[in-house]
Amino acid sequence: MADAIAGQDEPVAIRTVALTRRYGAVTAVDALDLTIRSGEFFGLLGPNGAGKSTTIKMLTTLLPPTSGSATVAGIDVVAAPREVRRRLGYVPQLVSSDSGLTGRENLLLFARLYGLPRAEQAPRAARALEFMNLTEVGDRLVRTYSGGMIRRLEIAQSMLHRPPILLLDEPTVGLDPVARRGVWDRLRDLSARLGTTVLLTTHDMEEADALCDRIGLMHGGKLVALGTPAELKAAVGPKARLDDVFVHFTGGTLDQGGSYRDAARARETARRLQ
Amino acid sequence: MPPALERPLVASNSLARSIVELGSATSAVARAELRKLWRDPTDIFTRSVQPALWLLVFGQVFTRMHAIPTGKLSYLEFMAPGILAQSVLFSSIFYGINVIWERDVGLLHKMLVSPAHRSALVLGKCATAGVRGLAQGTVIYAVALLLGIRVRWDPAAGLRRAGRPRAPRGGPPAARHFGLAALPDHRALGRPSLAPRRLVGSGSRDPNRAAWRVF
Repeated sequence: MADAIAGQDEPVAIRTVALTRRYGAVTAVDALDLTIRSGEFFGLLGPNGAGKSTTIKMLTTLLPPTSGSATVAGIDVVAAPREVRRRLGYVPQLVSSDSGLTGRENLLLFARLYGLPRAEQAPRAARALEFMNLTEVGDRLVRTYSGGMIRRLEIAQSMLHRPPILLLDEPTVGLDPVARRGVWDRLRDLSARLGTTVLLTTHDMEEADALCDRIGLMHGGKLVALGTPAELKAAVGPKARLDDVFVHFTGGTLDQGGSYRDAARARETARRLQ
Repeated sequence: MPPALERPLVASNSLARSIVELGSATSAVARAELRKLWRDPTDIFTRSVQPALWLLVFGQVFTRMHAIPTGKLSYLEFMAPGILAQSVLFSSIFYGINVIWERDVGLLHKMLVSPAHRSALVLGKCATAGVRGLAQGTVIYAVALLLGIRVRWDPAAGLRRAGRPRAPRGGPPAARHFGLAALPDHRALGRPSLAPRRLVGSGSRDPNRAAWRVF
């Protein structure tokens, strides 16, 4: 199913070849070539408007590419979108749990949508709650959850069908440091236990440093740097932090790019997670 | 975790399998939505306030005023089918709007990235909207009965009316448009002369026309 990177043993989880997406005159993603190995924890970084979310949307088949191609678990996203969706877990940036349902009901809804065998739905939901430390609050309405609980529930929702690949769009935006660490722990555990390939977007350097095996830095729709956090830091200077790497490669401050809509959206998500 | 749970889902392309998957995904969406409705049915009642006001306040007042010609029907009976249709329609519209409101967009994205048929999302929501509409209709019927509106318990009458090539001239506009002949009893209807072409012009001695000129 998955092909191998030339000269390496690891199979490929995600590969994009000259992947491009244009919105009218704006090129959001510009001929992106990216290869993510199976089992890897990969972080896609970049300022607002760098094309991270657009890339994720194309990989999740929510948005067709203008040109170029992308394969997920060896399957082309344009040719067989449903097969790609079977193999993906996706946690959108916006809150994606139903606040009017309990945590358990949210999980059961997705167990059914993913067509899990009937007998496995309830036990799997129970195990997912346990794994995410949500057993005690499993039968409470999601609208009473804290931000960290909601994010952990959302990750559980997308992992119920044991996808080989998990995509997260800014998973810790709007969370306090303790809740953020809780989400990191669960993600690390998930990736270690199930061997899941994780691709996450973030502009939190600490998060990228703490979680990611490799980092791809995007700017203006292009990949401007790629490597392990240590490699990237070494490339900039002896005492460089990841923040410096970011500024170095994006050629500006942390606070450029992005639209009013992006900002409003991130704030809305943060508000709802509080 | 047991090894049986580790295996990914098996893909299948057969048509029968596909239909079963559509059905189960639709029922999953509908069940989740109905559970929310069951847990918190206040929405049904708050949305019933406005139509109930129409019937209780405006209906009563206009019935007493006799300002609008409604034949042998009271104004209440004349407007009840329209109120029924309007409230069912509005409850569905407002429910449907939830889908495009920002608060559900994240959930929608997540559902769209599941392998469930996309039409299952629409069908599940439609089924729920149907249940909500019926519940809303039941409330309006109850209010109508309490107000003493005569109801013709004959569903076939609606079909007969809808099947006619041309709407009868005398029927109340709402009933003619929506085919809701079950409420109220239109057999009691006289000839209120509401056909638009007969409203044009003036100088008639027809009292109905005189009433319309007021507006």
